[in-house]
Amino acid sequence: MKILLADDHGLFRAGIADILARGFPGATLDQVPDLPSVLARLEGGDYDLILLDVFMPGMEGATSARQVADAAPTTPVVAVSALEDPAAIRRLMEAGIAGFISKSVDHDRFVAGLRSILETGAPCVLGAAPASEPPPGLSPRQRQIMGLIREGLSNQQIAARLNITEGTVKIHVSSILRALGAANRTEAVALWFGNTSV
Amino acid sequence: MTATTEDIALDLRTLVENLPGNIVRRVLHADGRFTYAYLSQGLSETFRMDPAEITASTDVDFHWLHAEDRAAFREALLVSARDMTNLDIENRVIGRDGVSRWVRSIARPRPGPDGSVIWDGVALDATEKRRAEDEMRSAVARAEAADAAKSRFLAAASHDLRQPLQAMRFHLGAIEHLVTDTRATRSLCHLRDCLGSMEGLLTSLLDVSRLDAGVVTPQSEAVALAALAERLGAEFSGLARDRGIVLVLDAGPQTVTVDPALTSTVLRNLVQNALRFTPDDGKVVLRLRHRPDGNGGRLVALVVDDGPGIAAADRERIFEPFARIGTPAQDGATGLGLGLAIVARLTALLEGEVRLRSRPGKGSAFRVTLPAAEAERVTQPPAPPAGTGGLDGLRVLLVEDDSRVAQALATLLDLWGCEVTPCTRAREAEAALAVTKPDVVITDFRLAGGRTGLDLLIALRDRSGGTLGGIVLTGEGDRESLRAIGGEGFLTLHKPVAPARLRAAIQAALRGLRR
Repeated sequence: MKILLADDHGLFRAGIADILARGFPGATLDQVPDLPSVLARLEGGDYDLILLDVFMPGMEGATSARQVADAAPTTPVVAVSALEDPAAIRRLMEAGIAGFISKSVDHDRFVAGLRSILETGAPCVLGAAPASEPPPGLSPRQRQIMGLIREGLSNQQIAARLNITEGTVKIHVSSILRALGAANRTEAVALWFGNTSV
Repeated sequence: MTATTEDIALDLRTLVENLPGNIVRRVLHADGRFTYAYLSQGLSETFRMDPAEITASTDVDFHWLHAEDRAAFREALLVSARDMTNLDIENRVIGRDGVSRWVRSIARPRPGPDGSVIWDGVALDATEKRRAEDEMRSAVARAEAADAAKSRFLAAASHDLRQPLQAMRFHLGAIEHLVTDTRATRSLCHLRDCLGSMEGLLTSLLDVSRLDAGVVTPQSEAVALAALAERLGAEFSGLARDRGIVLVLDAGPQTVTVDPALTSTVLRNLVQNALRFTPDDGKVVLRLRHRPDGNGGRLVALVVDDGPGIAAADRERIFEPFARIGTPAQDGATGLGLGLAIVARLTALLEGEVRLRSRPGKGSAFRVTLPAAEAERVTQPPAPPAGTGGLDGLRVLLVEDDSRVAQALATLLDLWGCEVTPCTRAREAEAALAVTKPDVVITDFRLAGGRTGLDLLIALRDRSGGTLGGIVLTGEGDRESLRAIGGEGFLTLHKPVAPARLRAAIQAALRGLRR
């Protein structure tokens, strides 16, 4: 795996390099300190992942993130930043990048977040906030499946109803359980429908 | 002896010649010509001009004025003549010595004989005044530049100062994994606490700096009083419980319009201080109310503690930066003494006020009032879906005849909320296009029947009116085709396809990228 890391602060790059070496053994890491060098590298190179501090000097948050994404259209761009302004993060995600990870998260979550992005493609926003976060949302598809689970349908029946494979349904259900922090379907239904007005 | 007319005339002339400043009489004739009927001698000294030369002219061209000022001067005279209003204008005069001086001309018009207009007025040296104005202008510009520089500095400092701390956090995490010795683990725990303190101090310092630099702008939103109280509860109830302190959070039912972040900071600093100075088993109360007043209403916050109280002499001083009074109840309490300084500055910024009532031995009550109109209650918006981020309902046409690859891709796409139409052959794809136009087509490069995925994409794009996102999946032997694919504006992904890369490609295709 080839990773490009763009951050103006040497100490941070060293710390991240360390974490990436342990979390993704065998990956090669190119480090650059600013936006022009990112674009220069992307001219010649092909990377599997770009880590970008979108608020370092010379960068303009979502605009620069999009610029990098356009320069490497088949490479996921993950924004990394010390700043945690929710509005800025929202704009970043709307720009279509793969994820946002706060620089304050400890390194286990950092690696887990990156893995999740790389392996599922699903966008991921990781802030430094502790566990007391508002209840997570479910995607429309997931909500659809929750409704069917509540009706008592099995995975096979859900698959037939939605015209997808049972395997896909199983993946959705695991994501739902993880998102809601539920141990099983019954708990998930209680958590989800207990939380929202139906 | 009565003065003769001649005497009077002589007297007046002497008076005028000797007046400080310069006397000017200008005439605008009915045929549009300007002449100067009189210019006092003083002009030759102050402005290095030759009055005789000017008064002799029957059609002055104002050549002694700076070239850029001539038209404006002429125009001002014409307006003054038309409206019979005073002339009052500043412009530059180039003396015979070549030096440019500022002159202010003030003159009053009156109708003269034969349709002419006559101005009697003065010409004053305005050079000093101009210089003072220029200096003030550049002083203002310097001050504005300094302000801008301060903002940039704070932003950079904020960014740079945090970096080593965050790097430390990472390295600390790395060591924690490697250490088994209990004493070492304990030390690392303390290190982590120190790190947390440092980050907190840095934040306070930067907050005060930003407030002093005037770079903080409040942004109001509808916030429920209960939500503000809850946030503080989440932050402090654990700490309060550990020390046996009763933390009472009492909020009214209203929703108000305030800047939530800045208001929270004010409340947080007050509660933190209250906890710091309240002994174990004591009580801290936060009360939030909305009170209507003539101006739309106020948020009134009261923070009451059980601490040692504050002497009258210290009541002003505690709001100053780095002020420390008495001993905190908690041993080794941290803090630079900036909490209340931030409260004072933020309250002022939010156009409110903070009052303190306290007596030594009887605890303290801080009362903050902020202008805050009541707002419509806002139901908590559902948190944004964690899963899809924008690909929901996207129509994807997938052309792939390897069933394992097709299955894997379809699963991913479905996971992301896309609507997938899977095909194994080009013909099926064309038929599907006729039914519904997809947003993005993903196709293998090698298709059965001799056509390439690129050919198919081109055909599909033509069929659908020219706009279609296309992604080609290539294998080992397809290198030469990369340029052709890119040339047509489609994207290439190498098999095996990494999920995140597929996602990025779809986003890029959506952004209508041409490469």
